[in-house]
Amino acid sequence: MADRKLKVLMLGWEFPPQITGGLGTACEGLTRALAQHNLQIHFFMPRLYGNESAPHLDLYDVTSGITQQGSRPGVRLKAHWLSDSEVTEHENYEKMLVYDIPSFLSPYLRPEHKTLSEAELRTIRSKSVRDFKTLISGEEIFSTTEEIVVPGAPSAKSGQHYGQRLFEEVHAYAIRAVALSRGLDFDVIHAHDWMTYLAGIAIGRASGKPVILHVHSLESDRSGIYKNETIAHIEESSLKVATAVMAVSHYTRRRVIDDYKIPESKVFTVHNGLSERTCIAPTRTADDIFRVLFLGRVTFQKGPDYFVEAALRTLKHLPNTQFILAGSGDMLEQLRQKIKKAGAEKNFLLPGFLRGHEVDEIFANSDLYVMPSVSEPFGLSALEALYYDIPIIVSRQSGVSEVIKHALKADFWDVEELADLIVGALKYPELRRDLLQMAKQEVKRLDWNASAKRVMEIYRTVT
Amino acid sequence: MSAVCFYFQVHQPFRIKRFRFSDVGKRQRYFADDKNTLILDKVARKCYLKTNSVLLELLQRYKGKFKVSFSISGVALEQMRLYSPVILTSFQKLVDTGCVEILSETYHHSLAALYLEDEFFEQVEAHAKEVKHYFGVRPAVFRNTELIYNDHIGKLVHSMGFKGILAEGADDILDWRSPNFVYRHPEVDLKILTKNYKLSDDIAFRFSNRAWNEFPLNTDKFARWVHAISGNGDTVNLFMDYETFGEHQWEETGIFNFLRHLPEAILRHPNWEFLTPSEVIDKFPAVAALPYPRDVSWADLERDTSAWSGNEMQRLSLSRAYSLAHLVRRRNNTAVLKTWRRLLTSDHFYYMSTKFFADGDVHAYFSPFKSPYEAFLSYMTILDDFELYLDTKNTQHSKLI
Repeated sequence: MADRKLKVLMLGWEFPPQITGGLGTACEGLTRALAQHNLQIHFFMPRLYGNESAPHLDLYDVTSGITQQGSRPGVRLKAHWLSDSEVTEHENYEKMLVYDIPSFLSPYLRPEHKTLSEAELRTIRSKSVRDFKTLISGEEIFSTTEEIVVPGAPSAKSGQHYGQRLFEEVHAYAIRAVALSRGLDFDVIHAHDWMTYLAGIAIGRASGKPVILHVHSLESDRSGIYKNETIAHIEESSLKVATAVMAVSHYTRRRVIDDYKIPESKVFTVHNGLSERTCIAPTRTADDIFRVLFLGRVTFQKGPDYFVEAALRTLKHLPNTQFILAGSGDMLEQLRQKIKKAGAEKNFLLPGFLRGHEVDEIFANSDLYVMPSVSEPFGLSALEALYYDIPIIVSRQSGVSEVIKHALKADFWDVEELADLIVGALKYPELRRDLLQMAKQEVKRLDWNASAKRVMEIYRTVT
Repeated sequence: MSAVCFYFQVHQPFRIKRFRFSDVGKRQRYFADDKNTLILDKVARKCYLKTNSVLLELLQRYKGKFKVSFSISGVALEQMRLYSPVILTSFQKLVDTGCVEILSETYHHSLAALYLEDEFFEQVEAHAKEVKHYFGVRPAVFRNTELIYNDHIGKLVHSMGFKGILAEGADDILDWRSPNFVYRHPEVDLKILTKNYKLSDDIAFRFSNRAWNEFPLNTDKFARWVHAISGNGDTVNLFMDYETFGEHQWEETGIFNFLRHLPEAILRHPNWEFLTPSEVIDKFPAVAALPYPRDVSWADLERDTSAWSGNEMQRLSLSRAYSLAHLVRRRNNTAVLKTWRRLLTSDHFYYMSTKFFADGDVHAYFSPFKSPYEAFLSYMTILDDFELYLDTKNTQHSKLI
């Protein structure tokens, strides 16, 4: 077994450069390190954009059936659950899947843009229902989803940041992934975050192979008290039947075990690594204005309100400080009002959502990074700050706090402490230098190779 | 005859509180009285009282053939008096046997020997007074905070009339020489007792280490190592923290049984005896001059002072604390002086050490703070507050301590 090449079917949702969060970056870092080991990875994606640079992987676009093997792009694969005639026309294929699959899964859906003929529906239904019933038999994972996905209907607070069609896409992805997997040889299934869990479990049932679910974040991390019950349900039922679970931090592992009652023995911590990246030269000027950065979604879980509270307290001691609240989200307006009310507008910069070079520039311009997350499975951006020679203050409730000891730490709710640490860090360059020097040594030890080694151990345990 | 010379360090700092910028100017107390009481109680229960009773039993049984020495910092004595006088009584009983020597050190267990000489002299004198008061003796041998020593400190100590000093037997200092002889200062008439760190650390650090190839350590084995030095050394200096017994090495490791049976095992060999540092100095001539050209301590593998002044935070806070000397003295107020001196205790700077923090080793274990950074910020903020009281003609400072 040790000598045989291990084949992994990996299910992802995004891959650089097309990313919306840390998931794609993590998948890239992990798979690159895994490629050093004796294994082959089939990596499924909802769709490819053609600019993914992943010579270490076989990438599959499950929507079109296009595969990109190593550096050879553009080979089209057949999905095995449809007959040849149904897939000959790429256009048809896409239409069917995109429009029709959700409507069978969620009978209450009435997509306005497309109505299928009875005959078309019958064909698809009979095939897919048969496939799915056998795959998921005995499992309730899909049943509840039918009730909640109502496109066009305003969904209170829950899942606001998820696209209306996300559930449709998740289901479609699962079905297509099962179909695509039929033609492949693999030993283990490895699925990243809830969007791919259904696919993972379904392929597991179809193939009888072990299923590993990788928890990069939980619904409660993303949405806090407004969590989407369906997603939580998908997480819970998938994690329960998975062969093994990987969590990105001890913190997340504990949450998986406690919140979803998953047996401890099958949940493993695999800390994220940090990929080499090039930084633009810091442009911090020698003026006496300090810039303190918050970077992330402006939502409850990231604790932007604690940042603003701590900032207002800091200003009493250091009135010249500039606070940058970078990101967008449902709390932004409310915080803008709060800052206005406190008469502190001149001390705050609210540049909104930043991307690409804007992120680099804001890092290069900051003196201190603050991540007061209420719940943070890992917190990759804090490590990126360290790359930019910016010392960090992180909440004790973050995964990154487990791997970086040399950070200033506070409980997210303790704004007094948070403010005290900000003042202290700004006041004493000696502290900042000591902090940074030690933290950078820790970052050096945090590479993806260590994570990959751990993942390989877990693969060997389950196969 | 060769000697085994036991020396135990007893010290408890007045630990400071987590002090925030918002506390400045509000007449908050600096010292964590609750925590300090609690820690003293715990250490007394696990170590001081228990070990003292084992030692008392041994000292009485061996009637002059078993001897040990202590130095007890002034701040430790003060806390015993304040929070738990029974500990003090139990130490007095040991000294009353006549087989226990009390050594000199700075009252505040400070780094004054390195930073401020006149302050160093005053703290040594203050400690001598305290020792005289509680134990009725005047110390004749000196040991500096954490065995910090160099040639210059040797001169200072000699100038105060001490006949000897304890120091670490660091490899680079001893070179080819053995730690098991008495040495002398290269210039002045001061004898140096060098710690045999190998045999000392076998007890203090390795005793319960299952990964150690000599584990488990019993008294026969240890006595065999000591006896092997016969004819090849005058004194085996076993210097360690008193907390070794019961606190660093828990009772469950069998450390008390080891101690209980060690005198018997050592004395089984007719050429071996127990002596106190003064007796060793009086009995054995110095075999050679031993220069200490650098700052040596008994801490960490480096055996240097980097645990207290290794990073920027430590150097900044040390220089700031000592630079307050003239302001403090100008106030000519006992409470102000006392507060300042408590803040000079070396432990405050030790807590700021970053060098092993991530490995969660002894530095982290002994710290009342969650990180070296909190230790630094609390300390600096207390100095902010303290300076406020030094500047203004505020007379409320007595409330600080």
